[in-house]
Amino acid sequence: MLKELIVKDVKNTLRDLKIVVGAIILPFIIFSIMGIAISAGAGQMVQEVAEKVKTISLIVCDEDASNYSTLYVSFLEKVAGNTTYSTSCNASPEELLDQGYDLVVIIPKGFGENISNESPANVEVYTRVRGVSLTAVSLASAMVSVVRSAANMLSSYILTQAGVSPEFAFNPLRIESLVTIRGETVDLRVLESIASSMFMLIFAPLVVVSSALGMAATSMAKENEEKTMEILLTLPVPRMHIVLSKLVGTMILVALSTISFMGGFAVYMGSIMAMASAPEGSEAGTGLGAAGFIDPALMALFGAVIFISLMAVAALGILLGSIAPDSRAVGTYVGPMSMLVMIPAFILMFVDLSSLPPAGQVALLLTSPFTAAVILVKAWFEGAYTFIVASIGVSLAFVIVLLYLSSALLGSEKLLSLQYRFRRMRSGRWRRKRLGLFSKG
Amino acid sequence: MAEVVVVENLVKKYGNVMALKGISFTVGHGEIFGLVGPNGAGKTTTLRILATLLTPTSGRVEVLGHDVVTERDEVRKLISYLPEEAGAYPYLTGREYLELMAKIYRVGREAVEEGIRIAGLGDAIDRQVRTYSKGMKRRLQLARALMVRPRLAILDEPTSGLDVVHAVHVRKMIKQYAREHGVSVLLSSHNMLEVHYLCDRVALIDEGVLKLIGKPDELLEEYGASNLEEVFVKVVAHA
Repeated sequence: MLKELIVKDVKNTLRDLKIVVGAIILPFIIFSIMGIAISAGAGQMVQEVAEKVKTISLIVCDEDASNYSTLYVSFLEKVAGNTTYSTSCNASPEELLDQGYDLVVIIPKGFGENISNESPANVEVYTRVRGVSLTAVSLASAMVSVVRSAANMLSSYILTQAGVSPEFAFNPLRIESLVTIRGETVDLRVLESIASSMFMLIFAPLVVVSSALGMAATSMAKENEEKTMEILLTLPVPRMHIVLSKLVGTMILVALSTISFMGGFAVYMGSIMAMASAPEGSEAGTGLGAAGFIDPALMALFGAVIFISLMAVAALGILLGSIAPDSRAVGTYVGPMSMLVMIPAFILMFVDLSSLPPAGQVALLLTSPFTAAVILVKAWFEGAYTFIVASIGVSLAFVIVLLYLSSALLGSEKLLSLQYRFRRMRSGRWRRKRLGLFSKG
Repeated sequence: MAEVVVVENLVKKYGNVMALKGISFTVGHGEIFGLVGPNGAGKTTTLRILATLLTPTSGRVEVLGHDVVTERDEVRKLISYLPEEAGAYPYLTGREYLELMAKIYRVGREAVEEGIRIAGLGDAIDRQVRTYSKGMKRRLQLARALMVRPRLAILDEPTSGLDVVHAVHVRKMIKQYAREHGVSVLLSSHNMLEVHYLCDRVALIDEGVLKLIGKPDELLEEYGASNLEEVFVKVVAHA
């Protein structure tokens, strides 16, 4: 008996095209695309990092010019292929990076004396990144690791000297790794923290945006489900008022949801900021503020962009929800759609906007209604302000077009015929009809 | 009697299916006019066209001289529509729902009180709609449709699926309100007894064609029938 019941359940479920597409086919397609995007991104990252480290162009400014500093430079020359040596660089690290060097190593005065006194000697390392993608930050970390490799060689040498304390010999250098981004100098660890939190930075807005899509679509579909839509459409109310009331209603609901979400997000970011606090004794700007992350202008823009993005998806939700016969039907397309919008976000984790081909940049801009907040964060760090403006423009245009379409749909009988088709599609009659399973009479 | 509704040669096609094949009728001021016919006859399509939800394929449809296609906004101010399957917002109370509708139609608090009287739900009017039975919801909907004093109330199967108690209340309210306030009513029904009780005139519609129009008693006499059901059977059988 159990077997028959199981067979009945499986048959009944698998004959529902909606379930087959939504629960079996779509997840496979979406996750395959996401997997390909990730492996392509990660593969490109590993390859780029490996290539760059081989051809690194390094300049050493040896202001100490002692035996120990010369020895350390010789180790650097062993691990980095293209090394320029100078005892007086006469230029700031920023200027040297402008000249095309990938890495600037500054050995300050007192280096040799410190080592002789068995006190850790300071070394400053500067490099530059264009953005905060995982690729860019991994590259910076890999380049700085060259300096650490040379430090290990120095450490091995010191260990061979008689009477040196092992504790000092294992850590003879205090390496300060600094990165310039958008004209600011920040500690590499801060940037690494931001890159590792990029996942959250990307997905936080996406979660809010996806939930707004669901809320708006459900709110409209409820009008059909509760059988209130027909009455609503015969009331002496302009169609645009119906659409706007749904939009505002959804925005209020989403605002409450976002406040709750952002509260949790703030706790999360607080822990990230604490982790990325400035190292003791550092003179360079090392906090997240110095990285431009908590720039008030960025924060204000972030809020505005999230708002526009929410309006855009709410408008889409209203349009989709108006043709759905009930809130259950909304789930059949909102879920997969929410997963689809994650694909560009995945790609953005690995690549910088400037490294995308023009067609890729245009394609990304078209996803702005869903990804504007993510694009903003990326473009801000890269100084690609035109991209931000274009992204906001696309999102606003999307809102206006969708509101107009929704209003037009509510004002015509097209809405009722679309709902009718949706119901037929869901009932599966259209499929059986196509297969010729409808008998006449 | 001034005509509130004028329908002339109304045709409606859904793709290749012709739902209405050129029907014509009028509804006068304060008149209760019934459309009767089997399922798929075209009753609901006709009502939906008058309610501005559907567009006619051809023909003239006017409410107090306003075209239902080109002057939709004007028509919507004059009508109220009760679909066969009508719902109210489940988390509003009955009173809140009526107040909402009064605001939309820009009628005062008296209309809300009138609506509460028509609904006859007693203390339940302050309960959320989701707690209502089907009959209570229908009574609330009828109250919503009538309390705004429309020039034309379009009621699609007003007592469909209701038990006797609720059905009697709904019929009584429709008749009483139309008489007291001179509201014209265009309704559809399967129930011939109901139509006989309520309507000043009825139209029999079948397969998109208007078979006959007349006053119930005159139709009974003309066809030598004891009730409208017999009239309907005779008309359809002769067609």
